[in-house]
Amino acid sequence: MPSDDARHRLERAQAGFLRALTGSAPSPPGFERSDVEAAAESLASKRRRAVARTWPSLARALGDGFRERFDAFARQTPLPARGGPLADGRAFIELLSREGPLPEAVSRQVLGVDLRFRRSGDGLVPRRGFSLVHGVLPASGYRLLGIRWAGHGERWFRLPAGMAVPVVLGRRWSSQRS
Amino acid sequence: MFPFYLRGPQFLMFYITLLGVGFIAAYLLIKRLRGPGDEGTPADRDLDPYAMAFLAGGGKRAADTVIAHLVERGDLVYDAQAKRLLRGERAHTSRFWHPLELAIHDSLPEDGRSIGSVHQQAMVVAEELFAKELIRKRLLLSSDERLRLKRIPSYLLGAIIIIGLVKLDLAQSWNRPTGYLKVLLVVGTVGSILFVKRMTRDTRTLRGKRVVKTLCRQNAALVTTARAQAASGLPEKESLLLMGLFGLSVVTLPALAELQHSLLHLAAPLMSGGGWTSGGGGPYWYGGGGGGSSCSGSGGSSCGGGGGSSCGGGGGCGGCGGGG
Amino acid sequence: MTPGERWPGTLGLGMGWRPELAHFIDRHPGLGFVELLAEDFEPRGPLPPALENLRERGMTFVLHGVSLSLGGAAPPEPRRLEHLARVAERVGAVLVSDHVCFVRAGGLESGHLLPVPRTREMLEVLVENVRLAREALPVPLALENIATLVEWPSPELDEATLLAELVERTDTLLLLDLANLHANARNHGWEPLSWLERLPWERLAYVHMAGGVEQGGRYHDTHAHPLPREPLELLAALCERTRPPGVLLERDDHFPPDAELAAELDAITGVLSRGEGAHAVR
Repeated sequence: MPSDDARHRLERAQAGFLRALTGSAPSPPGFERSDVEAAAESLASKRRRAVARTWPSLARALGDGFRERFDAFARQTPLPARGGPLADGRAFIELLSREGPLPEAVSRQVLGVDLRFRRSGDGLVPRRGFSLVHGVLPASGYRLLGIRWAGHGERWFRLPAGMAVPVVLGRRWSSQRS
Repeated sequence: MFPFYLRGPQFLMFYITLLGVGFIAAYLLIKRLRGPGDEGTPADRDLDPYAMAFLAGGGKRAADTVIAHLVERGDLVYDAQAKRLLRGERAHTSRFWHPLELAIHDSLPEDGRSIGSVHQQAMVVAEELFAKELIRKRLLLSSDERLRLKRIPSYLLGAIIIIGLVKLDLAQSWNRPTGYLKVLLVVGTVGSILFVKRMTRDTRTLRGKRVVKTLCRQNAALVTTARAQAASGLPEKESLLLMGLFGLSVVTLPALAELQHSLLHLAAPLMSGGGWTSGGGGPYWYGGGGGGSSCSGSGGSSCGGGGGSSCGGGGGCGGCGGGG
Repeated sequence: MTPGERWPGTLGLGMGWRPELAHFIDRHPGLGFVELLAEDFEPRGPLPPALENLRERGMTFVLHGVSLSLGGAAPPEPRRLEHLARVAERVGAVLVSDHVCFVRAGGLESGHLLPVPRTREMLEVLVENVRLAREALPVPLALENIATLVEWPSPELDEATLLAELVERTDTLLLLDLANLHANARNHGWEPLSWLERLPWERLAYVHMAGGVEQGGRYHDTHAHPLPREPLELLAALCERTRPPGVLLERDDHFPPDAELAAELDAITGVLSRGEGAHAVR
């Protein structure tokens, strides 16, 4: 049976190692610096690639700029504890959406994800029961309305953008912040 | 006569029960009127890909599929700016041209035509080409059968409404309060109309539905892979089957992106739904079209990403034919 | 030693199930099992139809996790164990596996499998964590060796000894990743054959094979490149010593044409049948 002391010592050591790998602290003593750097680079690119794969609309929309912008975001923001790259990308998009309207394909994917997942402090949590999302897609000028009953399916409706939709359940999200 | 001399509250209870029984009976009748529930003979199931598309999603699906396929093959070219379809370099090789492909291709004038009108034409041609065969194989209801499918449950529910009306007349002549009965009659009538409309919109036989469902199930792995990545390099037969069974939104070919966008927005009604994932059918049968594309996009990728766990949740927009 | 915990069966040739590979897996003859990623599945609801079809055809499922953090300082979270156990039941997995590694520490998530310091103290923590996990799971647990670009300084044990002691003391099974072994051997100058010698063969559940790439003077275990020669050679060496109950190919990205994947599976089968031949002669 390991002592609590052992667990504490280990926690400190692993946390220091992990901080070095995420680039927020120097390499801990005794480690081969070049190895730590190589591992840190590998972690960063794995994180970036995972988000690009999970959010193809986003990677396509940002094109060559994706790498730089995501890396800047990733340096500031730790990986969410729940929801993996889907949650990571969702947080990145939240940041992007503050800078201006999102490309339509991204907005659509966001609506699809928001219909299935609830955003929480530590990432994304699958929704249970009924949920409803809607958002305006400015380019095509219509409003998408999604209704989902977890485990039973989801249904999407398209409405003219001007048509108001009362929010019954779920969270409101629109690609345009008004 | 028995029901009419029931006192107000008792009659209301009786009438609610009667309506309930009526709806259940209408549901069972409609199911029965859809004909045989078996899978038919292998010959019945042996359909060319466009006929299968027609069976799975109606004329719209067949039209979507043929246009997308001809563009993918290079025999048609889509001008996204003008929203027009033009003839491509038609290869005069010995390759097989389906009559539907020929009809679409050969009727195009030199300067092409708008995608909307080509699509319209493709729907008409598909109907001419496939409806008869599908009816003969008892996959689609004949026009007589369709009429019966609508009429018989309508008569049944109509009779129940008439019983209510007679009682209303009697009650009024006896100066009894009729508020609740009136509400019930309005709800019953509107409900009956919507019910019959919705339940009979799909004009396939049970066999037709079953054949599509089985094929969708057999091709579950193919559509899973197609949703997860560009389905490039698929053999022509599989690519056609995929579009025909599941709709255009499952194939994401860069060359088709513009065309897919146009087809998805074509002649879309005011409100268009993608269909519940568990339900079959598609735009033709449920009068929907549009927004499904957003759900296929996120569904596929969140599976692939590993963190999203939507794979487990029933496969996102997984329903056969759903998602527009 | 509880005999029920031992892996009795034969899995055969396997493939990591990914949506991108669903069609390939559906049609490839000769696959005996597929590995599902635990984090991709919810404990409730129906299986995706593509998997349901496989199950109806008698395909065996094993469940593979990446987030237990068995080598973490904290005991495995009950929430994660519960999820793993329920998903294992739902998909009917015969076996659950995760890695000897840590994935989070100090409130940070790494999104990666990170190496543990190879000390006696660490081993004690690992043993307790693994016992907790084993008890929470309805099916046997297998532990996998990871690939790492960086090592902790001054290890007290070598990896094979650590793994061997861990699986013996916790009565768990071994998921041997030969691509990871090759990566570590290549990057840290280990001797892979003597590494293999130190393992308790009777506890081998199955073997992982995957591709990687040589870059910047290091071998990266990417699961996105072709299967190189060395893991196959290690598999041949392994087959000289024991008969692996199952061998599974992993591919996570840059999915090649079907023929290429089929060729990699064939290469694995080739090594296995040569191994069988050698066993038969003996």
